[in-house]
Amino acid sequence: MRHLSPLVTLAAAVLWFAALLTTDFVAHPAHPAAAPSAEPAGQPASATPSASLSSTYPSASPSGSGSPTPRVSISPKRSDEELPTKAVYVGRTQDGSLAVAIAVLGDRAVAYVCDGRTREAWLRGSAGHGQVSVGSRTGWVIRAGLHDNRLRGTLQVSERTSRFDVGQAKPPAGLYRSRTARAGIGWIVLPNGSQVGLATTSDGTTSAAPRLNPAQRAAVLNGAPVSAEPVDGNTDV
Amino acid sequence: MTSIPSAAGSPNPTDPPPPGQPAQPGLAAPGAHPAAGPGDATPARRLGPVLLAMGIGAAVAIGTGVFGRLHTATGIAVNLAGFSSGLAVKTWLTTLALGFGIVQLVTGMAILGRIPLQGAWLNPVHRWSGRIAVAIVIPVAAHCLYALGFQDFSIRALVHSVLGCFFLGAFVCKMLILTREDSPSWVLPVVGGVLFSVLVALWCTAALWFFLYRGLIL
Repeated sequence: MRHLSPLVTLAAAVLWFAALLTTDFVAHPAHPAAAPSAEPAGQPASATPSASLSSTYPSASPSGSGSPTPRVSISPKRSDEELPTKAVYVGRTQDGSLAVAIAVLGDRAVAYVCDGRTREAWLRGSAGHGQVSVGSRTGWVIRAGLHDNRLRGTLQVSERTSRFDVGQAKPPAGLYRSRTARAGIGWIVLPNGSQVGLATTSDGTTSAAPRLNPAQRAAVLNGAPVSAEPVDGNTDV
Repeated sequence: MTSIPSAAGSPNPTDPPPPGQPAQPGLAAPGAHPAAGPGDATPARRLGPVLLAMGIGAAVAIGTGVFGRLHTATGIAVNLAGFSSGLAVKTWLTTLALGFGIVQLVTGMAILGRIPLQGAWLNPVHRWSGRIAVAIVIPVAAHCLYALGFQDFSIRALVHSVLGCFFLGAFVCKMLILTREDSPSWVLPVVGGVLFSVLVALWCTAALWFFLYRGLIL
């Protein structure tokens, strides 16, 4: 009365499915670099959106959770140090409200500033003699100088000046973006693995960026996969 | 190969018979007793195992949905050969699977005597087209589940997510039902028809959407 061949088919299907999912789990873990336990002591735990399991789209890290830059920032001044030919500096402003990423390539520089919720700007400009000077179309200006291998400087947004002191990022930390017809996304991946980013869709809506998988340079925006590219100082932003 | 359908002479209603036993003539007369309830035909028809299979299928569907919802979508999953173009390749694989699904529909109906096709080839073709379709669909489903997850940002995505989970459960349910010959005669057509309908709906809410949105691209 019993046929076994459907069970064989079912077992083969289950094995095939399990093999693919297992390979996925091994090759593309959901949280590659940003496990909360991997955060160095003293970093704000809330900066990592590890509690994103229940939300549809893991949001970028909330801001205002403390500045990871304990040093006293100083105004940019003439630096004796030379910038590396290619480097990316990431961190937060001193008040912690904005994430800052500055990419340098030769004599060109690109910066991205973002609060992870509503405000962002892409800035471009020049680099040289240990100095970076970039500005956005919306009038945001960053001036920074290299001191002890860190970029210290100011961000000026209308009348307000924020200070920052940001260190050189080692991948996967850095600056990433995605540009398609449907959306533009910027991500700043901080050294502790947390992310700050914004996604602006073609209809003008702005929201926290979906979580970026920095190793694969991939994310999911509104159910569709998007690929990201690292930004260097010569990227056209 | 073709002939006038006759209800009394219809081939085996359970679609994969054991290899080597192509048909068991005269086992059922589906035309005579439509929608038979349990225990009204000569070989005792039992609904219990069917309900159990449906329960297991439902558990698989719900478990799949819960996993898809809880697991953080990675946006990327294992690349099979050619999977670099992601959605496009999934779209074409699903379209291919839909083709095999249509073969399933035709051979399934012929096996049940609903369309005038006969031949010893019906059962193997039905079985193997189904196996191939499943083998094709599973990488697509795994990618959906792992890389995209259960989504509800639009009606399309929600319907596709729900039906995708349902499809896996319905497939498990059908495989379990196929192991028995004592199910009520309406069960297999219903389960098979549901599987095909859901496959069409899955194709419409993803592949067709993709073709409309991006054009017929590879």
